[in-house]
Amino acid sequence: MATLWFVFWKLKQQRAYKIRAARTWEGTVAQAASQANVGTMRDERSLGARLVDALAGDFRYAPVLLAIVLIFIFFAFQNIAYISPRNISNMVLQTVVVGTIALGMVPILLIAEIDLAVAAIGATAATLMCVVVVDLGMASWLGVLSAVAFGAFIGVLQGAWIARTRAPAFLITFGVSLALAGLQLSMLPETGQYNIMGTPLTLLVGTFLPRTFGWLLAIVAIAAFAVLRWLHYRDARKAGLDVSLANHVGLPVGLAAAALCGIVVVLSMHKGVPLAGVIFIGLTAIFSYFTSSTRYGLYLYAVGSNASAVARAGVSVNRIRLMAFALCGAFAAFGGVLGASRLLGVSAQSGAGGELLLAITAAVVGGTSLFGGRGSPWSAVIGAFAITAISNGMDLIGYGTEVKLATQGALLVAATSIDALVTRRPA
Amino acid sequence: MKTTTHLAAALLAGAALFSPAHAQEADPALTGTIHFMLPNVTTVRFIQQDGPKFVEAMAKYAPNVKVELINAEGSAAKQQQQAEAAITAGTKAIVLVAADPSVASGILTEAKSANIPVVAYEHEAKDGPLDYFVQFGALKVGQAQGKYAAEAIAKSGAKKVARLYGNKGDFYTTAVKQGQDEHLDPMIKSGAIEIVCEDYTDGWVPSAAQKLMEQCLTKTSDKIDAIVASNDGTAAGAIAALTSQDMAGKVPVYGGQDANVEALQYILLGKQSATVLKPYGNLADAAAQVVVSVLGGKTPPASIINGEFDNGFAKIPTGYLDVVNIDKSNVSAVVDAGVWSWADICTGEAAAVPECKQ
Repeated sequence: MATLWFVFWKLKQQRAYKIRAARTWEGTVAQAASQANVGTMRDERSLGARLVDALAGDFRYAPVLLAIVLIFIFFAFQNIAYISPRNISNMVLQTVVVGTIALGMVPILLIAEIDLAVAAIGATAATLMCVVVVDLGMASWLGVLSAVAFGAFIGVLQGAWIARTRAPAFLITFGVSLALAGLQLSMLPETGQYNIMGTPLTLLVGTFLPRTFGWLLAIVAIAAFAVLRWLHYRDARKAGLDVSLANHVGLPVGLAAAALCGIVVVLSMHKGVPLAGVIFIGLTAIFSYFTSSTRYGLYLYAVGSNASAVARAGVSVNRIRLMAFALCGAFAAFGGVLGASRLLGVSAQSGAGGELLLAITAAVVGGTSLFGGRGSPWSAVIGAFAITAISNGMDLIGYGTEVKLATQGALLVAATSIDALVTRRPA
Repeated sequence: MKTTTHLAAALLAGAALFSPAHAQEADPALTGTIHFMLPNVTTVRFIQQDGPKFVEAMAKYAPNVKVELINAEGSAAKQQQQAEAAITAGTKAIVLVAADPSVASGILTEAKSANIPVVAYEHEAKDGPLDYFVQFGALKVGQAQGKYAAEAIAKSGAKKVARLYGNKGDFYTTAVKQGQDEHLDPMIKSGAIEIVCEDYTDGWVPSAAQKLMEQCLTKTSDKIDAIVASNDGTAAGAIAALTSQDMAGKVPVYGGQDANVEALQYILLGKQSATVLKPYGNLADAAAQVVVSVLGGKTPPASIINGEFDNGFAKIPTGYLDVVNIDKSNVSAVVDAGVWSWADICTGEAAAVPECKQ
């Protein structure tokens, strides 16, 4: 499949494949290619094969969205407080930290690499932020900026090292995570922790938007999305593709608008839309535009599908690797910043709450493949929300530690298996 | 096991309590290297407090003995390798903070067969030959927490109580809970209080405790009157959850331990009720005196080895050290014990409280 895709990629002009990519909702090149190639044989294949193919394509969010609905029904029946506006608000904030780190995991998974240092990067970056703000007394935004810059810097170092040595990323990044844990300990004061209560840093997660402002943002977001979809639609028509206004613009915009309005209504019944949630979705939207509509974004998919083909086409694969790791480091660092803002402090235990595994699980549950070349930033949002919905429910009902651990494990096994199944499908 | 906490005595004695009793003379004739084996990098007290203070105490009692600090980074297997390396290198004694108390017997057996004395420090080391044990004792800490919480709850008339335990399956978690239960169970049985939520905190991680408390508040619609945590980290997680509901300072948080700076700040700000101070310097000093006695072929002073502990293999001569309850009235005891200075404590929001302006 990868080879077919490469031929396809070589033959088409840059602009043409952008439009092709736009045929699928999130626009992954590999999928458009696979569908173009298998389209004619569709009817001859078994139901199972077609199902697997659908999961890899337009309906890839269907299982996890269905799962979220089932999770909500399951827990709501046990305790109605689960679907209270306040708990939904909890869930959004609980999603944000893991989700932001998972967002960084997406470009890494797209190029078929792994970064096991994300939790350590987050914790160390958050500690650096505290050094800047608490010890040096500088402005909070400067602290956040230096944390994110630090994360990107570590990412560049990792990416450069892995690109140069071609050593397995999982061991290099694991080594880096240990080194960062040491660095973090040496940065912490003798007291072993920073308390940021009372500093503006806590506002990052502690702020809720006024209701009217929340609605305004929602309307702007829906309008922007509609315009984007319509532009895609127009380009697709011009390129002579058979797309309908209803399926290409109406359905996605309608679904997004309904979901967004629903969540804003619910959040407004509690304290309003949390700022951290808006930042998280904003970052995802920008990142999604980057991966689906810019050259470098598309290269991420290309490298993950067939790195040597990309290299032969004259694109520097190492530069793409560097970029993916830098992005991952920056997102991981920002995730750490959000975590500190939420907990009101940083300690040696920051990043020890299973963030690493949760971030990987979130991206994979959301539909980003561990094998490279398939996925999208939105998978981090949906996946992180799904696993948060489960752990939130189990905490609410008060399941024992045994059940929680077993569930987490089962979830990872299931998501990875589905990923492998979809990846290995005959093309 | 000794059960009294000597709370009153500790409060009255103040600074005098924290100077080591029966200080030994320095013995320059002792030479060689001993190993102080730390358990992990997340329990910062061992790295920042116990380790340096033990080195300091050894320099005082045996200036010509070299102390090596090694950290097992949370792995019992790694600790065993480190112990083997120490024995091979000809260590004179091992002071062991077990990375995992229940699987330390390998280290104990190997040390015994090489005739190396082992002194367990703070964490128990189960099912193996052990020369001495010095500890504050998790049970004792739990009892101090439980007693303080029970008395305060009885006084305030709080009814609905939420409890946060440590990591499920830890020896330390179970012992702390057992200590708390001694004081809380009678109140539960008599119906004076009702436990509305209780849960174990994965890895004692504060962010996990925060999530548990958020869910507890959601489930009860904020109707809780008191929280009993298990250490300062879990208490901090609970306070973060309360803060997001604007309830910090309105619901008392008991059950702290470690006297972390953050906890002391919360206590000064009225957001946490109490913590338990373990004067690390005293424990390090006691361990150093025991080691010096052993190296010199003597029996440690009876003022230190004041009890026994059954580690499943034998009754181990044990030194129990006193813990001190800290609340808003005696934060200065932490400073007097030399754990933190006022400059450490009085940062951020806490800098504005009266105690910090003196």
